[in-house]
Amino acid sequence: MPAHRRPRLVWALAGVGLGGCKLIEPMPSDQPCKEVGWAIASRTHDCTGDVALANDRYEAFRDAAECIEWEADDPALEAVGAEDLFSCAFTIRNLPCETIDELGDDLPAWMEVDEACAWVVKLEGDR
Amino acid sequence: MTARLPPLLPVLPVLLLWAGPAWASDDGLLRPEGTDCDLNGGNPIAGTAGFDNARAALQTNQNTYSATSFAERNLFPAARRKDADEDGGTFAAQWSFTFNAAQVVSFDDGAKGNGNCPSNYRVQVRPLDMQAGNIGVTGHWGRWGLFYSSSITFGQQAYPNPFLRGMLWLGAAPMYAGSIVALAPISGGWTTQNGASALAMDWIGGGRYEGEHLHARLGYAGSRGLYVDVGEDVVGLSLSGVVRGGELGRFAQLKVGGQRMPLKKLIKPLGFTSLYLRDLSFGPPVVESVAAAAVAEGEGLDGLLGGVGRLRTYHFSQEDLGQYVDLDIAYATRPLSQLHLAAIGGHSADFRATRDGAVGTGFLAKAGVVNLPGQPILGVDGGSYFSGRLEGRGRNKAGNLGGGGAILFNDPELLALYPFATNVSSWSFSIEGSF
Repeated sequence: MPAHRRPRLVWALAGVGLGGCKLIEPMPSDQPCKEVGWAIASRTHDCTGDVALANDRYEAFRDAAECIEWEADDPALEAVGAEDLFSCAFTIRNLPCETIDELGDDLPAWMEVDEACAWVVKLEGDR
Repeated sequence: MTARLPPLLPVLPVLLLWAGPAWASDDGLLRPEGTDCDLNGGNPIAGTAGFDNARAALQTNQNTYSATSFAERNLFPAARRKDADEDGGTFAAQWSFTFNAAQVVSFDDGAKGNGNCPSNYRVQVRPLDMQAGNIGVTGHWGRWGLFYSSSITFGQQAYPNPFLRGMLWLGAAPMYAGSIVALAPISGGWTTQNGASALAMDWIGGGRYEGEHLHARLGYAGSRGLYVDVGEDVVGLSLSGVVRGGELGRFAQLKVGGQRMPLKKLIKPLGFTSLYLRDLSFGPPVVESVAAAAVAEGEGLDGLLGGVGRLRTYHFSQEDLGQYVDLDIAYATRPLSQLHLAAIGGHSADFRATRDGAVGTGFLAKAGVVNLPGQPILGVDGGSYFSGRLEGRGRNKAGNLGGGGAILFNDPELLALYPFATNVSSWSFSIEGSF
């Protein structure tokens, strides 16, 4: 390759690489709710090693749950803190495996492990 | 008729006058929304998938660019090429950067609309950036030799300011890594992790034998037990791994099969064929008793390697097909049975000039589409993504000093390492030489 064309290649390479970089974004409004479903799948997998069962429980959650959407600067969150929207997911990810076995496929029971679950998820049949 | 372009020189200052403030203003290219949010990542929120993924990514970064992997990838292939009748040695160094390996949900109580940090950034999603530095050296006397390889890996949530992000990862971090990795033998292997950031250092040292048809390397890995690598060089069969104690499987990592088998000896256009099994620890950790039970109850490979929390892939690759084309196909059986990667690439004729993977010269380009399945365990919705890879290499005229660089974007190898990533990119630079 001629020497005068080499810099062009370097900048082209740099452009491709930087194109993949992504910067900070605000939380998507359904993020706290989706985290609950992912936490159920993850903890099921942690405690059973069964990928299929984890996926089935996530599908069941997605079919039955209606997400309650939040903006991080919602004035209603000033009393509790926006980070507490993730309290439900945090609690589920820290449940002992014996509790995971007991909860099984009983989705309403999963939603009772932390009061914050009701802030972000509404199950079919809930008022 | 010949079209005449407007002279560029008078237009350029106008463009700069317009583009400078536009890029540097709030929400411009240089100060995108969120630039003034907490520089050091706010507080990553435990309980989210991104938090777990970040911790797994940091662990993976540590394994991938470990002293062991670096020695196998960059040090030994070059060392094997040396003439056994001539005493000497080889050295190698590499810096690697991985951007956007995971998305970390963080709380930033400073986001109150001050500067360019709107209040809805109080809970924000930040990419995880990571870096790895490696230095290695080996010397040989006849067919016997000694080797030393070291690694330092670290990562954290990205700075929201693009300029500072670039300065940290492409400027300050390599210098930091270069100086600290030289101290590895003094400090030994250690790891520290706090929230969604981590720093780890490791080293291996040992002896090696490079026979005419066989090679063997045995060493001590500072943090991971006994390192073993044996193989024959006629067909290309080899086995390498790190052996450890405990109940979670006898191998921390294992790679066995044929590597760069020279089918071109039979039919020249076929180039080199690789057919091998690779097994690594993978993804978020499984409860220890569950993993131990899977080993105890498992049969065959599951009993040997552990059945859960592993990525087990069967690889077929054909390099230098017709001198210019590479094909890579892999199928995973754990954690999910699925097509793992399918890629095609083209490169210059001398890009892979030697049998054992030593640096050639020229370029390689690969492109394709990667289809990722949804993985709720990892908080990933799945989808189709563009994948690409560019590599360039060169050596000096004497042939004793060389180097190269690579840029990977959603490359299947990257996605194998970070299965929760989408739009992940990696840059790496390496140098090597012999004396």
